[in-house]
Amino acid sequence: MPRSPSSPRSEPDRARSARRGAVPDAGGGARSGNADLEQAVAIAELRAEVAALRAAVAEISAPQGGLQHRLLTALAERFAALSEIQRELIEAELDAFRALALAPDRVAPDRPARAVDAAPARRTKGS
Amino acid sequence: MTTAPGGEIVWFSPMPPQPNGIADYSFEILAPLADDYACTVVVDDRNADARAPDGVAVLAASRYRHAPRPPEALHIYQIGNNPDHVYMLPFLAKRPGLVVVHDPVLHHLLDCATMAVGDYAGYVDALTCEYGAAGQLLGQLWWLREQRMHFDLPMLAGLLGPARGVVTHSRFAAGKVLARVPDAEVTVVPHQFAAPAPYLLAGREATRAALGVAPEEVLFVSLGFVGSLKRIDVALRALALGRDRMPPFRYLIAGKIDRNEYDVIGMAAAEGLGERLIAPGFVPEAEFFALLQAADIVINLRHPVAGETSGTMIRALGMGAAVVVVDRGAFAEIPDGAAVKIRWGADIAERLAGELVSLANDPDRRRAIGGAARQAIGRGHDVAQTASSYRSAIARARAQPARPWATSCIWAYPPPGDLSRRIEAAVAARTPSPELPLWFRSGSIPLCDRVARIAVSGGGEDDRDLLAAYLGLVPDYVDLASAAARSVDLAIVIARSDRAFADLGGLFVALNRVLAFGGLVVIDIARPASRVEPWLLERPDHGERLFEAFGFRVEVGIATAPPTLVAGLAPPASVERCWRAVKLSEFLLGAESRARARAAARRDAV
Repeated sequence: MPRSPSSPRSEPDRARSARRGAVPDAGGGARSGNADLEQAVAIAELRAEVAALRAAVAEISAPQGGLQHRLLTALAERFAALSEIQRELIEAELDAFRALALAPDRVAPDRPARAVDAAPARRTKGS
Repeated sequence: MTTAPGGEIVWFSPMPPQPNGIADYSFEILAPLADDYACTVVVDDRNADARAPDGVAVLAASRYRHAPRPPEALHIYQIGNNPDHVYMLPFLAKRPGLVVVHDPVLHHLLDCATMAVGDYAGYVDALTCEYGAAGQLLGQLWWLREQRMHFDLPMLAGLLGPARGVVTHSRFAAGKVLARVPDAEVTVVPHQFAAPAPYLLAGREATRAALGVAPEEVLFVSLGFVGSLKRIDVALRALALGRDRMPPFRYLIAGKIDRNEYDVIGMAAAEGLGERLIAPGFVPEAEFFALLQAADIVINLRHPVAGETSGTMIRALGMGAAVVVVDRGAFAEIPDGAAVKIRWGADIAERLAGELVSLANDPDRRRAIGGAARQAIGRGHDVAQTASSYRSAIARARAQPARPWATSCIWAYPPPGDLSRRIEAAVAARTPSPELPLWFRSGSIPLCDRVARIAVSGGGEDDRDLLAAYLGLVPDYVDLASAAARSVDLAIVIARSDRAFADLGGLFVALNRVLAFGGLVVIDIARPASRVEPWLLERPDHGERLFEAFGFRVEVGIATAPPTLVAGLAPPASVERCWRAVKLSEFLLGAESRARARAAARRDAV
């Protein structure tokens, strides 16, 4: 909840300021413009945290099951994406194999019918 | 580096003693190639104890990075699907060359390079590049992925697209490559078989005796790393089904077993075959051929089939063993009669049992199959023949110019003060004061550190004059319709008339084709409000979805008027919108768009 500007800053406020690299004020005395700005930012952060917590509570306690809904949506989207890719791959592979069947030399232009080099190396793997 | 008749090659591969089949493969094939080429092998730093044939220099990757060979030295990359090949990926991206694909499914390699080191963003980026918006979604939901996804998304285009040539060991793998990279220069090179030195063969009977196999027992053998894809479970089930119809037998599984991942010993016990199983674990090179010589029947199953050519299978065939394989992928290319090929299906265990029973009871059939296998391998898989095909692939790759792939432009944008000056100058230069287009006023078009290749579609002479004033030079214009694939760094589309909207899908397909990866497209649309297409007005993100579907990511989207008409406010007389987007992928969503893109790629290939 927002606090009045004159209220002393809590420890979490000080820690948050320190994380941002700000210099914490002495507390209680007159505030600089920066200190007010820091407090405004802290309040905004606090509000965002509260909103996130509220959303999480609502999601967990929702009778429709927000988590299940999100999971099902993710699974459905994933399935659609995978199907899209598989469909493309199948079509492309059909194209490619059809083309290869029509033009077998496309990938083996010089496939030798017999040995063309000197005697084969008589060595074992790794020796 | 000494001079050699064939010039210089730089070979990236694991080398012995690294326990990797491709290491042994490279050692065998480099020996004859070293006669023709000045060869340097670049290995992973962890493989610093690498051995190479005489005359071949070996360098660790970290040393090669600081002293690369000159541009005319062809780089050859031996790509496999495991961590031993990750070190070569940065070199491959920087110096495209000849890529030897040992496995046409490289998703595991991507895993090793990204997920295994905690680089989830890199994984998502790679999937986005390969499969566009669909891939991005799958990457972001990586925690939902199943093992099957590794095979469904082979991750080939990003690695092989820029290559000057590709080598595969089967026509099946070549087809897989051409499906993802239709204009690739693919050469099918037969996987070599190097016969073992005679001293490595202890003799069939001696080896069997050492294993504890009686002369009358039939010895089934499966060799190589024992993983789930080897389908030892099916082989065990088939042996259990046929055990009462065949002579006494033993089953030898020689290869590293990870019982946590794939517990074949537990499976054998469950099938009642525990006493018949011999599982010595990893077998050193010297014993490998002796085991093949001792075998009666070699069971070499794979499912699902990724497309790799099994080095183990080539050795077994070369040694004249009766080999049983799945009739799919590269295995289906074994000549008929040289192996027993079984169609995969729901009843695979029953049909495999039938074949194993037949082979176990018929030594003559085994001998005939083994003889045919030895002949087939002798005809086409000699080391010298493989080396000859390599020479051909190297020559083809050298003849292939470097393929345009990604833009090398470094983009910059005019700072606000500079932009204001440009606008004022443009207004002052014209009377009466014109209404400058949004792309100009917003500074959406980038400046470049050098002369970029620019394609412009639409607009008139005024627009081109403005563009020249904005860029401070007269651009090197390229025609969008006739530009080569990936030859353009920046595309500008100025849409003012109904004609520009007649075939938006075709326009986006063309833009995706001509732009290099990382290239930018700027689209500026100005329309009377009454004639604005619904997709432009309904929701601001509709335009972004459209870009995404065609492989782009919107960097900036600007509108001169609110995209929705608010009740009570007078509607604007005209609407102008401008987007700048970067090309990330060539995978388009929508069957029709993809069909158009494939047709364009076929035309390019011709």
